[in-house]
Amino acid sequence: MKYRIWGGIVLLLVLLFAANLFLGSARIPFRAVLGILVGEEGEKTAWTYIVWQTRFPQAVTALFSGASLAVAGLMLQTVFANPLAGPSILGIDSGASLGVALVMLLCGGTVGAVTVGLTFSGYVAVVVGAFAGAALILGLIIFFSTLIRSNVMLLIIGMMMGYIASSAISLLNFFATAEGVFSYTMWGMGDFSGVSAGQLPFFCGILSVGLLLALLLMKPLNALLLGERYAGNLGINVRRVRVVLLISTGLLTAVTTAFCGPIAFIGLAVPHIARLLLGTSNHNFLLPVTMLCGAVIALLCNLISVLPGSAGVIPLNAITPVLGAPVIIYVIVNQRKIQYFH
Amino acid sequence: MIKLHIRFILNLFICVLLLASCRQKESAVSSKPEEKSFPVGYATGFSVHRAAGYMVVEVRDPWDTTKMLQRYVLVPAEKELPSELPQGVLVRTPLKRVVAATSVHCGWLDMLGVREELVGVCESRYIDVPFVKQGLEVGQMIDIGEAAAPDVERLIELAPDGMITSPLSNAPYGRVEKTGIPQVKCVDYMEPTPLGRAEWIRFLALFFDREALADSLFAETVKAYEEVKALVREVKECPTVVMEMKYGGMWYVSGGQSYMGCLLRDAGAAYCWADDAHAGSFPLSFEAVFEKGGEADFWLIKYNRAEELGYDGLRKEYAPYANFEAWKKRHIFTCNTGVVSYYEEVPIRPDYLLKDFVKIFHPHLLPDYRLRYYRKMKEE
Repeated sequence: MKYRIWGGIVLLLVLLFAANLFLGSARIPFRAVLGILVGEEGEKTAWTYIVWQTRFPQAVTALFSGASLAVAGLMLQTVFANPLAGPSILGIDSGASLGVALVMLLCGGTVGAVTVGLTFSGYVAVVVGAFAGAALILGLIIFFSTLIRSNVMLLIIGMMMGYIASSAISLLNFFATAEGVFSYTMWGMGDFSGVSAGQLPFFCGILSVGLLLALLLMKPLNALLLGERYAGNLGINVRRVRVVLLISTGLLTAVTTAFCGPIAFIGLAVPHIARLLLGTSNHNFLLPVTMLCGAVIALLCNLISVLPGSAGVIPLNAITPVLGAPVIIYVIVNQRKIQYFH
Repeated sequence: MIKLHIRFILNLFICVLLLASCRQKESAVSSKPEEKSFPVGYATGFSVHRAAGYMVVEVRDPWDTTKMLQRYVLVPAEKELPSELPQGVLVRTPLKRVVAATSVHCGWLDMLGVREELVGVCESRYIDVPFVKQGLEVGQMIDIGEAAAPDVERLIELAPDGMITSPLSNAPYGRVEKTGIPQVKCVDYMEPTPLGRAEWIRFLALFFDREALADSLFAETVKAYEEVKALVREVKECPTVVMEMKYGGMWYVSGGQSYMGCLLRDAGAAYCWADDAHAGSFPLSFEAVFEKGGEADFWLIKYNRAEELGYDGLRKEYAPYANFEAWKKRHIFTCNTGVVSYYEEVPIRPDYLLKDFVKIFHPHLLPDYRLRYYRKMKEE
């Protein structure tokens, strides 16, 4: 059964990845794309550029971002023993956004002058800013988790910190130029096209490190499901696991947020989709399936965003909540029936 | 979080409106022959009817052409109020104390010679008009806060007899409405043609009894515009043009029937979206723009940054930009709006921008002219 699910998801992933290469707002015939993919010169050079320099990086970015956000969400849900935890709910992506806003809106020195055009070193600055912001919020949440036992309360604290970060962002926006605000707003709508082919290795490399760390945490995460004390009794160094988890989640959330904007709901909803599919909370299966599901959902959202074709594009963050929120509502309404909830 | 996203979308919407110009086209010159004493030639958004002892000015709702945004009844202050007046916002002209919400209209007040009448502005940090900056410094004027949500207490304390606003759709200015201070709603930015927008200075002038001055200013603009436009009449080859760049995942493109579309047509260029029916701007993905504009002869970019944007910087920002023919041929021109007074001048003097365009697309027609807003993009 489980292997059938695995097979299904992998198949879906491949199909959606291909769909992202074949479909887009520019109408390129199927054959032409096929030819370009096997290395032929396209009928029009423009098509070759579009497939290799925009569609391909965008699809890879969606794949990695989706997997990263979903896994980050899963790890947070397990470590806080709270099914409603996720990077956006806990304010981690607000923290990352604040870091980005600081870099984007303030750098450039003089008042009224904004460097929104980011060179490569600029990108590194944005990533570092995002990571610092995300890690700060995560660290604070972990600190509060030692003081407060109630998970719901902890969730609320996370939300409050998200609000504080948001208000700091509003203030920064207030003092920025109109164009800076516009550019920041556009970044905030989320999109997978921000990573160009040249930046792809950097982007995928860092995310791979985060994903690898997550895979290494499979066993301790299973132990944490039983509660911290049990995990300790099983010989797990809970403190060290938390630190590794902090680094991994922070890295995954920060890098995706820096490049793609704060993408809502993937981190929150995808782990639930994976659990509903598998009917288990065993991380040995759950974690990889969550990764794959995250990639599938992100590719799907990316595809939907270009569906209007030449008439325009839909922002990513207008799509993800429509897919994600119903899942959460379903889970909450049926929580008594769903095994893994308890 | 969700609230934040709603705000993002709302913000975007406002930005779209700011970038957009308009969506209707047909002219709305007053139809009755006996009222042609104030003909409106280019603008589609307002009309003026004169009557004995007063004047009726109507502003059309640019977002819903079946409606009227506002009707003003202007009565000179020195005259007695006629016993019967049509319905509408009563304004005694000339206005003596006004607040202006935008930088553009501050500039217009200056041109109309009514600097003294300006007592307050909104969002002074965005205003780049020397006399306003000075006025704020010496305390002659005050900043009453955000244009969309002004500080009502300060506004009431100022007690202006009018506020010049630039409404975005139907949303803001609710608070101002409640104070009873008449709003002069300048929706000039929704005009689909450059001269149509510039003509709104005649509208504003009515409130200050500066009709003759505004007429001569506008006539000068029209003359200059038509002169530059006439230069390209004989031009055989119209170069293709693509504009601006992407923000996030979206590249906002001006429609074929928009303000920018009209300017490019008048400058003898073949805009890549000239056949498009949009009168405002709309978002496209990078690949959609690239497919249509990748081969374009020229690429014009406006930005507002401290550092100058060069070819190298553009490529570093997003590598696929370098696939544009215009990038390869070094045919990109940029306008740093943080350095030149583009947004302040162009609404009232579109001929300046038109001249820049003609110089870029057909340099032989204006051999001695030096570009005012745009410049050739540098390598670095």
